[in-house]
Amino acid sequence: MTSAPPRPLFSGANRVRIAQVLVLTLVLVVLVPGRSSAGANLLANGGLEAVDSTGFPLCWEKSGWGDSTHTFEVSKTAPHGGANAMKVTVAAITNGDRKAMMLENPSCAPNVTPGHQYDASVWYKSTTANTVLTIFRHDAAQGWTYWTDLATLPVANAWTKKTVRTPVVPPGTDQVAWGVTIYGAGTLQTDDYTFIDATENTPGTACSAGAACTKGAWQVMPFNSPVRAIHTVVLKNGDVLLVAGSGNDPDAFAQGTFKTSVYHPRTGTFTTVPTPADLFCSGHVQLSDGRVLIMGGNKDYPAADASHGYKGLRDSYIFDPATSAYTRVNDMSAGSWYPSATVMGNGDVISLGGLGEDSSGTVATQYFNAAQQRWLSLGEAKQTWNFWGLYPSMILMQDGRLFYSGSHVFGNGTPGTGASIYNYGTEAITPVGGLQRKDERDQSMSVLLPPAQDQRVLTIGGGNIDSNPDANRLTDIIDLKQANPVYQPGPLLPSGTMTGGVPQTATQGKMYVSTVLLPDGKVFETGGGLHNRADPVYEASMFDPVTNTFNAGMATDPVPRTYHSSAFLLPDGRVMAVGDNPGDGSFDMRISVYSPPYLFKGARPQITSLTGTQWAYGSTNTIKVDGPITRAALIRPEAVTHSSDPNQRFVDLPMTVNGNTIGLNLTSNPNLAPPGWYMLFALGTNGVPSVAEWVHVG
Amino acid sequence: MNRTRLTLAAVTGIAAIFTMTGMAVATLRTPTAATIVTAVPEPTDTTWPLNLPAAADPTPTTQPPPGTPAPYVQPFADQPGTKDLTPQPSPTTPVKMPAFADGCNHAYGNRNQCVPLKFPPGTTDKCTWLKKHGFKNLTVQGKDNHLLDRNGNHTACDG
Ligand SMILES: [Cu+2]
Repeated sequence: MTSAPPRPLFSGANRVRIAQVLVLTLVLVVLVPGRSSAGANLLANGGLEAVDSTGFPLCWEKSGWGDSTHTFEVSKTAPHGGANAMKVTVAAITNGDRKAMMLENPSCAPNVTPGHQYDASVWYKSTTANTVLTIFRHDAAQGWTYWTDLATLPVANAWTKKTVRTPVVPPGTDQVAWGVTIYGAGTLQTDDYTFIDATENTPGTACSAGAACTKGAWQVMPFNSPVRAIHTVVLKNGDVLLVAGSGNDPDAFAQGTFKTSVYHPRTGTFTTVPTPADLFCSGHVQLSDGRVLIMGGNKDYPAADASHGYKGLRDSYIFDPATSAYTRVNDMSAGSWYPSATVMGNGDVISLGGLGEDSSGTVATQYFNAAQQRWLSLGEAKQTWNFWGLYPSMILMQDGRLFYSGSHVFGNGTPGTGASIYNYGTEAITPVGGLQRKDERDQSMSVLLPPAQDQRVLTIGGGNIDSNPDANRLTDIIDLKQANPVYQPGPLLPSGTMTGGVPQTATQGKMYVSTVLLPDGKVFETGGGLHNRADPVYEASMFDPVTNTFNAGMATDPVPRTYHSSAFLLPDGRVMAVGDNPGDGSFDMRISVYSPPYLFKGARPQITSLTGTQWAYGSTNTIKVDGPITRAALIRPEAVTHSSDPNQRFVDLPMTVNGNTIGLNLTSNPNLAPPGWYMLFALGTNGVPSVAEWVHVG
Repeated sequence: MNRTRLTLAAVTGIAAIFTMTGMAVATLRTPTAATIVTAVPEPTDTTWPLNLPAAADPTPTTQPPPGTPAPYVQPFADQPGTKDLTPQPSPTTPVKMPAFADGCNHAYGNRNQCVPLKFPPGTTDKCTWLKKHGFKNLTVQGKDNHLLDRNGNHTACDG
C-alpha cells in the first residue's frame, strides 16, 4: 500500500477488533426482524468507531498519490453518528488525490457476488466539489484493480448522505473496496459508511420470437436511400444525415452533382439537402451544440494515367439539424481527403491525416476552435508534422491525449502506421506496441469499449487494399488504464460465409467491418468483405466487454456491406446499415435495420420523466422510470464512414436509486464524455433498453 | 492497476492535464534542489516522490468555485520509460502517396470501376475473376499492367 508511515495491517489486537465488529454486524443482521440478509451492511467498522493503536479506524487506511499538503484525522467534533468521523484536509495540491480507503485485505474489504449490484452509501460534509467516490475490485486473476468512479459529492456544509449503486459486479470478482477521494483544496469529512446488496430480481425473459430471441433479426426497408450514404451522422433530433457528395462517382463529380439527404427514421421519409461541395471523402464530428462539423472532401479523382491521385479539399462546413442546411466556415489549413475528426474535452476538434490539395499526405495538425468557430491557421495550432495516414482512428483518452488505435484506411507500409499516443499539448508522440499485422488493419474498426470509464479499445479485422490479402480475423484489445499500455491479442473474429453460403476458411476474416455500441453495454459487429471492394462476408456477432468474448452467430444482414458501408445505433435501440460499393462501380442503395435480441425479451422500460436535459459535469440528474433498472448510460450518436468513428462512446451513469426515482451521476471529466448531445438509455432488469432520451452534456 | 501503480505513474508525471480553457498542458515538476520548500503544515502522508527528497510544491493550483468539480483525471497510461518518437522537422518535401491510393488501377474501366491493383490470393485467371465480379465492357485507358488487352483494342478480356 502507499500510505506512510507503515503500520501493521494484521496485528493481533486488530484481528480481535475486526472480529468483534464482524460478529456485532452479524448479530445485528440476525436480530433485525424482517430484513433479509440482502439488507445487511457488508462493511466492517463503517462507523469508524473502532480504532487501532495509532488511533486510526480499523479496516481503514490513508491512501492517495501525488503532490499535496494534507492531513488525515479522526474527528471527534460532531460526527454524524457515534464518536468518530474521518476528516481529510488538503491544504494545497499540485496533482493527485487523497482518500481514506477500506483496507484491501480479506478481513476488511466486503465480499461481493458477481452479477449482483450494491448500494454504497456515505455521510459526508465537504468544502470542495473536487471529490469522487472511487471503487476498486479484487479480481481472481488480476488481484486488486481499479474498477470505476461512481459519483462526485457536491459541496455540503451539513451532514449529507450520498448513495450510489455499483455497476453489476463482473465475473471473477470476490471483494471490493471503496472510499471518497478528495483532489482539490478543502476539507472532506465522512462517516457511517454502508454497503448493501441491492440486486434487483431478474424476471424470467419469456421470448416467443424463435431465432430472434438469441440472434436478433434484420429487416430490409421497403425503400432505398436516395443518396449513396457513404458518410452517416445520427443527429440530435433522431434523424440521420446521409452524405454522398459525388458518391465515388466521377461522372457526378464532373457534373458538379453533390448529394445529401436527411433520413427520418420515424416516418421512413427523406429530406433533400443542397450540398455546397464534394463532401465525399470528408471527415465529420458533432460539435457540442449538436451541429455537425464537416471538414475537407474530394477536390479531384485520380487521373487514368496516374499523373495525379485523389486531391483533398480545404473546405469546411457546419450542418445544422435545425435548419437542414450547410454553412461554410473558414478553410482548413491543408487539404483533407480522408481526415480524422475527434472532439476534445473542451469541445474543440482535432483533425489529422488525409491527402492534401496536391495528393500528398497532409502532415498538418488541424485544430477547430469551437469558441471562435474557426479553424486555426497552421501557425496557431501546435504542429508535429507527423503523417497519420488516412482516416486514422484517433480516440480521446481520459487525460485529453489521443490514442491512435492503428485502425486506418488505405496505405501499405505508410509511415506512421501502427498504434501510438499523441499529446497535442506537448507535441509528443509515443509508440504503443502489440497491434498485430499493423499493415493489414486497413478498414478494420476500432471502438472504445463500454463503459468509457474502463478506457479499453477493441480493434477488429482489417485488410490491405494494396497487397490485397484475405482480410484477417484478428482482434486486439488495449487497456489504457495500464501504466504502459500494450495491445493484447483478443479472441478471433467468428467465421462467416461468403456468397452462396460457402464457409470461410480458418484464417479468413473481414475488412469494412462495422462495430456498434449497444445500450446493454455490448458491441454489435456486422458487415464486411474479404478483399479490396470484393467478396462480401456474411457474419455478425456480439462482443461482450465483460468477458472479452464474441457471441457468434447473430443474424446477418442480407445485403452485402463491404466498401463504403456503415452501421450505427438508432435512438430506438435498433441498428441501421447502409451502403456497399463493390469494384464494378455499383452502389447498393438498400437500407437494413437490425433488431438485437433484447428487443424480443419483454416490455421496454419507460423513462417517464427527466428533470432536465442540460447536464453539468459531476452532477446528479434525476429521472423517473416505471420499474427497476440495472444500468443507465449515455451513448454518443455516431458519425461514421469507412469503418471509422473514433468518437463513438458509451458512458456509464452510476445510479443513486430511490425506488423508481433514479439519480444519474455524470463524470466530472469531460474527456470521458466530451460536450455534446447524447442518447440516454435505461436498461431494465430483463436486459431490455428504453428508447433514448436526448440530453446535453457540458 | 492498483493504487501503488498509480503512485509510481505519478512520479514521472501526467503527460496531459485537461484545462477548460484549451489544451494547455502542465508538465509535472521534476524535483530539484531549487524547488525544495519547507511546507507548512508538514505533509503527514507523503507517498510521492517515494524515496526521493521531499519536494512538495506548496503553491495550490487554482481551484474552481465550490460546487463545480474540476475534472477528475486518473494518472493512467503514463508510459514510464517509453521514449517519445523523434519529432519531425517542418516538411520541405511532401509525403508522397500513390496516385491510386484506393488500391484500384484506374487505367481500367469507366473510373467508377475498381480493378484491383493486385488480385486476391488464389486468382488464377484475372478475366474470369473480373467477369465473376460483375465487370463488363472493361475499357483500357492507360497502361495495361495486368495484360488484359491482348488484342490491343482498348477493351479488356475480349479475346
Ligand atoms: Cu472511400
